[in-house]
Amino acid sequence: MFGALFLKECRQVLKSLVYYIYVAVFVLFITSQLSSEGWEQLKEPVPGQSYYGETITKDQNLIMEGTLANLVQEVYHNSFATYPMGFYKGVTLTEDEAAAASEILELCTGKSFQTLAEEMTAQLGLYDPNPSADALAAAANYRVPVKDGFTYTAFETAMEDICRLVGRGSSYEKERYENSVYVPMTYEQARAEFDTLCREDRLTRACMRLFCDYAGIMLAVLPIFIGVSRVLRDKREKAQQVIFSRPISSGLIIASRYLASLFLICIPVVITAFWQQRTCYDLARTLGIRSDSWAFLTVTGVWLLPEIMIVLALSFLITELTDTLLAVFIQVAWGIASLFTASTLVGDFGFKLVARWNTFGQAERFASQEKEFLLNRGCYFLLAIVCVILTIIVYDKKRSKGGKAL
Amino acid sequence: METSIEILDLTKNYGKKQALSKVNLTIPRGMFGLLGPNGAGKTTLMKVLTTLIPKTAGEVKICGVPVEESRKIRSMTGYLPQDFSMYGNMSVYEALDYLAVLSGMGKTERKIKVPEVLDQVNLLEKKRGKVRSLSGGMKRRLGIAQAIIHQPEVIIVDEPTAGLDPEERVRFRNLLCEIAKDRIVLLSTHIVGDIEATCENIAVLDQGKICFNGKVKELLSIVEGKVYSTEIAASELERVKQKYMVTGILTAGTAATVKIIADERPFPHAKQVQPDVEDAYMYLMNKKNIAC
Repeated sequence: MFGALFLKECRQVLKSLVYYIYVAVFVLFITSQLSSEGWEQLKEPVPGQSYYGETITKDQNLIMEGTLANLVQEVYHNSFATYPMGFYKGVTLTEDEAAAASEILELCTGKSFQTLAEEMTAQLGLYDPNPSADALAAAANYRVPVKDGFTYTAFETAMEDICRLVGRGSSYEKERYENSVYVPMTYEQARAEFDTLCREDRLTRACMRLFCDYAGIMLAVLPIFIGVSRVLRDKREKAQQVIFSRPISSGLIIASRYLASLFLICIPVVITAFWQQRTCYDLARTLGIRSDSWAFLTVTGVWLLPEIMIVLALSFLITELTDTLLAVFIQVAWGIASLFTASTLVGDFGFKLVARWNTFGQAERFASQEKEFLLNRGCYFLLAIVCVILTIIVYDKKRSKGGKAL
Repeated sequence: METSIEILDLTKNYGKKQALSKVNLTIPRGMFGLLGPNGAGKTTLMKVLTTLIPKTAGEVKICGVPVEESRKIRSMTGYLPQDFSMYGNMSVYEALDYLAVLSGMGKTERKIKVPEVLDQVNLLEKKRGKVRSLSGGMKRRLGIAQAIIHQPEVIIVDEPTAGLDPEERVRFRNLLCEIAKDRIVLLSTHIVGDIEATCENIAVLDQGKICFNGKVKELLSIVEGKVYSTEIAASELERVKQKYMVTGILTAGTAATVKIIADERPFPHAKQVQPDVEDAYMYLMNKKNIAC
């Protein structure tokens, strides 16, 4: 009976306009946002290159130097990029505030702001929208050293003062500057990164992690609409009483609806993942790398399935509970909050709904956070099952209360 | 297993409002009519019987099964709600097949029963048509099809003919009578004609209480010898209506023929006529304070 009901529920979802809007938005987003540049320009590093790319540093001196270099540029232009609620907000300081920021810089570096500005323009030159490899290397190499004896603790205090001047969400918050100072890679580092990419990620896994990063953004929101529209459909079509009075168990009704929606939400995800992986797969063959042909299923399965499950299950639960569109508002807010409260676009999984990995490769960095990632996904997987069970209980109660929301 | 519905001291409250008050009723096999004005508590009673709402007090057994055993009750009852509707984008066949699955029917059984029942309700030709494209009468017939698809012992239909044209109403009544041959069909309505044409046993519900429970001829006997027909001047109509219970008026020019219910002959020239169920129902409703 479950099989027949599952197929009928699939047919119901396939007949709804909401589903096709979901497919269109998802596919358009992925194809327009996800660039294959990351792997199409991939080349084996050779000694003597002027630039091998960049890598995040944990060296406190380099963090201070890199952060101060950024600060010199922002004070110079009096334009600070902040993301207080996740969205970009440019901040311009008043004269007094700008003077205070310059003083903080002088305190950290022991140099006057004028000197710092002259050094910066000499190093970086004029802004070039299409910088050459040499210019990129120069920008990556631009550093502002701290004065002798200036400690990391004093630096932290100075950055707190800057944060007070420019407000929340700037690059001078501890979590941000400790994860955002990049240094140029050496040949050895680039070689090691390339080898890991071939050995651990087998190219396609890295490709799929990047795919999941983009897909996860949309999947934090889009399945809500499918869940809400399915649950509200009985009420909208006045079919509640007829369905409630049937002998079938509430468990079978909800499980078939949930699994049918889940299955159909996953279909475009898997197809798009396979399509994206295809180019990477071809490149792997060209480079003679044995790629992981099933990464489009395994990586997306672990990364995106728990997210889709919890988003859909929660939309079922809230909508069954309230018979309203409340789930849309609550869950969209949750999705946005999860997206914009991340201190970095690579890692920092915590218990965020959207797991970000906005980079191609960095397998070792991922391995160091894999436990946290799996814990995050495992929790959402279990939470989704709990939500489905609660939905069954709520639905069963509604069946014996004339369909009224609880 | 006995085919009857036993209702004992059934009470249903919605907060402080009492919708059903100590209702006692035994419904045997065949067509049973539940008559009452709007808001009498008929739909509440139907919903208690179909496990859609819980009772506050009392006892209800359907074919010997207490109504608390909702799963069993649901498998032995078919329900056509007052405002029956199904997913508009489904075809008639799909809708019935879907509800058959929800009734626990297997694939093979459905393949035989779905066309058979559609044929029974005269919808086989419309099986590919969308539910949303059906007329009111066709939709009700689909409603009755879904109520009988799993061959329940009891069928509960709530106001099934409201809003139907006369031809469709007659067709629907006949359909219900056919179905009632070997099971209980509980027909709830405020349209007296439906009961008169189909039911032998009836109960009258008003303000949550049973005012009458018995056979149609017993209901008629209440008003026997109290229904008169007379011709009066049309200008006198208002005065007559204020003094007597008028159940029918036929105006022709300046004269009007009126049907009056009265304990004594209202006019010397008034003729005694055979009462119908509507007369009896009207009489009962007017006398409810004494009868209930």
